[in-house]
Formats: sequence, C-alpha cells, structure tokens
Amino acid sequence: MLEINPGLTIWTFIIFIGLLFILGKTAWKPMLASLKTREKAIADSLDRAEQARADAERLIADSKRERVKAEEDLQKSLQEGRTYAEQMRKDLVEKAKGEAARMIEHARAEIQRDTQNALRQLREEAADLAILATSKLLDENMDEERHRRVIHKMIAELPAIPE
Amino acid sequence: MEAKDSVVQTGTAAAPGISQEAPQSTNIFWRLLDPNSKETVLGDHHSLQFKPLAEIPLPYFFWDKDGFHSFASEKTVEENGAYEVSATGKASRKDGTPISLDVSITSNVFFLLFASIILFVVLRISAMSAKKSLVPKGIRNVVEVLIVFVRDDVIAPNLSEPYATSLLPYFLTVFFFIMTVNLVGLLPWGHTATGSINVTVALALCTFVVTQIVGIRAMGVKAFFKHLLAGVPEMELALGMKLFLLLIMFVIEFIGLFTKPVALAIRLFANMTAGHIITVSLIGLTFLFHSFWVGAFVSVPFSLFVFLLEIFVALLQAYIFTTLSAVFIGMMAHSEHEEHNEAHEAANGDHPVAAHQSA
Repeated sequence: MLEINPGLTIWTFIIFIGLLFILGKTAWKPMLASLKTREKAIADSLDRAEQARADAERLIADSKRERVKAEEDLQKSLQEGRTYAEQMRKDLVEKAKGEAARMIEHARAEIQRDTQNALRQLREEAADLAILATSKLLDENMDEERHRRVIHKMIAELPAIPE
Repeated sequence: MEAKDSVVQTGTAAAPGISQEAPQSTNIFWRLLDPNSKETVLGDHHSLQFKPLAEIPLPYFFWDKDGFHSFASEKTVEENGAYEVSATGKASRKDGTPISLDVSITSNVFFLLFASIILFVVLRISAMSAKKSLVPKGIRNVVEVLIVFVRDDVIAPNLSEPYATSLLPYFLTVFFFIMTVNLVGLLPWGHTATGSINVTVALALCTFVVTQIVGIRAMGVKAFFKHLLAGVPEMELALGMKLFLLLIMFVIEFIGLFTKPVALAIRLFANMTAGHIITVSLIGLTFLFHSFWVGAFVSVPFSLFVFLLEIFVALLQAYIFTTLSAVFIGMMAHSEHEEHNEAHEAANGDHPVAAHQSA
C-alpha cells in the first residue's frame, strides 16, 4: 500500500516502457492504420453515395424532361397530321368538285354540239327529203332552176337553228 | 445480546493490535487490514496466494553490498543464511538492516506482468484482425471503441497536432495498461498493482517526463526555463520587486511542476485502494459482530455493490489518469502561444485540474 518499495517502481518502469514499445510496434500501429483506412473508406463511400444520388437525381430529371418533350412532340406531330389530313381532305373534295363541274360542262358542250350537228343533219335530211318529195310530186312541173329557188326560199323561211 | 457483547470485546481487543507493532492480531479482520501481517490484502507479497488451495512462492532478486542475489523462493533465502525473511515476506540482512535494493518479483510485479500479457494478447488478436480486414469482429470491437474514445474524446480536446498524433500511442498504452491492471486486480486472488503508490509513482513520472519533453520541444530550451519564471523578467518593475517576484514565482512554478505528477500518482493509488479497504471493512463487519445476519444482509450485498463500483472505478481512473496526463501535456504544448501572458495561463491551467480532482 504505502510502504516504499523502489524495486516495484523500477519494475513498473520496465514493464510500462517495454509495453509502450512492444504495443507501439505491434498493436497501435496496425490498429490506428486500419481505423484511419476505415474512416477514410466510410467517408469515401458516403461521398460516392452522395454523388451517385445526385447523378441519379439528375438522370431522373433529365429523363422526365425528355419524356415531357417527347410527349409534346408527339402531340404536335399528331396535331400536324390531323391538320394535314384535314387540308388534304378539303383539297381532294375541292378538286373532285371542280372535276365534276368540269366534266358536267364538258358533257353539256358535247351535248350542245351533238344537238346542233343533229339539227344540221336533220335540216339537210329534211331539205333532201323535201326536194325528193317535191320533185316526186312536181317532177316535171318545174325545172331544176326553179326548184332550187323555191327550196332555198323555203329554207330561208325556216326558223333559225337555236343555238 | 450476545452479538453486542462480542463487539465490545473484539473491538477493544483488536484495536490496539494495529497501532502497536504486533504482527499477528487475533482477529482475521484486523489481520487482513494490518500491513505487517502476512495475510494483508492491501500490501505486497512475495508469493501468490490462492487460499485455501495453494501458495506459490515467487523468486527473490536483490542487490546488496556484495552484488546481485537471486533466490527461487523464501525457503532458499533463509537457507542461504546471510538473509532472513520477515512475516510479510520481506528479505533483510540477518542483523535486521534492510538490503540495498530489492527488485524481487512480488505479487504486484507478477500482476503487472500478468496484466501486460493479457493486454498484449488481446491487442495482438485485434491487430491481426485489423491487418486482415477493415471490418471489426469480436474483441476488436471493444478495443476499437476504446481507442477511438481515447483518441477523439480524451486527446483531441486537450492536444493539438502534431502532439495529438505522435503521443497517441503513449496515451493509449497508459489508458489500456492502467485499465487492465485495475481490472486484473478485481479477479479472485488478484492484486491491484495500481493500489500501490510505488506503481502509480512510476506511471506519473512517465507522464512528468513526457510533459517536460513536450515543453522543451514546443518552447525551446531557453523559453522552457524562462517559463518557469512565469514571465516576470518581462515586467517593468523596480529591481528589488522584480527579484522578489522572481523568487516567489520560481518557487511556485517549481512546486507546480511536481504537484501535477504527485496528484496523478496519489489519485490513482487512493482510488484503487479505497474500494478494497471498503470491501475488507464491510466483510470485517461480519467478524466484528460475530453474526451470520450481518454477514448475509450487510457485508455480502454491500461488498457486492462496492465490487460493481470498483469495476466502474477501474475504468474511470484509467480515463482520469489519461485525461489529466493529456491536460498537463496539453498545457505545456500550448503555452508557446501564450508566452506573453504566462502568469495568466498558469492561473487558468489549474482549473481543469481542480475540476477533475472533485471527480
């Protein structure tokens, strides 16, 4: 307890200083190194995790923006397609209407021309028939010259061909 | 009624036994407390006692006038003829004068070595594991927790770089060594070597030497010795006053230099001994009262409580010794920045000590 024993003090010095050197070399050095390495590893991986989180967040934001943009594009092109189709339909209808009108006009002109041709032929035919009939009736009563005169007079008296 | 009578009897009969130099008191209780008795639990022994199973003699080593002597045990010392062994196992010359220097392996030395071996094995296992993998396992967890505690909560607040790193192995060794020695002392048949002032003085001297080395390193030799004069030479005073102050400050600073390690040594020794004295006293109550009931309901529960307290104190005192060492060394290492105001710094420096002394 309190009795003085220098031998014990000397032994304590020897044991303590010996332990200090032995532990310093064989225990504290590797333990402190591993602690430091681990602390660094933990700090690093936390940093990396934070970085990865930031990256992921950025990627998510990017893809979200991309999706919104794609949706907008799609809507726009749909709208465009719709208006284009509408336009096309209108054009086609217009064109078809025009074509139809043109064809009707054409047909009408054709009919008119044919009518006139038919009338003219009819008139020639009528003249010929009249000449034939008259000549058969009159035969010798009239000479060729008189016939012609009478007929032409008659023809001239015929109403004009309606256009 | 019977019990009360015996109290008076034993109390009066045994009390003079401890004040006189009668080594063999009749009562086991007094013999346990008597430093001159062979059975004392508080003193040092020259044998390992595993009562009632065995008693293993420890070797004697000492220097005397005619050189170094070594004996295997108490018996061989007495067979030699030139020396005799007292009741407590202490060797002395036949004529009763003490030998020059006794460096025998006493029980305290044995338990210091025993604690060192346990500490070395535990730390070696942890270090091997640390070399292999970064993931701690088993005992290494405990060791790492304590290392980190010492590094971050004991050293870091008191010491700055480069001392915090370079002195870390010293503080770790101090902490683990004191803790292990304290705990080994709580084993059955164990001895608390830190309960001997001779051991704590050696540890405090180590801290003292480290403190002075750090002081010289931090301030330089000239400033270090000037610091002992507490900045008086720079003051503008009359010569007589200056000399007077110098004398006083030198004495105060010089005493202050030694009060710190003395405080360290006595605090550790007293704290480690106190618990043992209380335990012995509590168990002694059984013998004082000659009563089974006192033994069963006072001695055993109370000494169990004190034992649990001692486990806590074993850890606490290791922490306090380490912290105070760090505080003292830190004060020395950082006084370089406050050289212009060292008197003030010295006054402040006492505060952490006072705070810890109350702990």
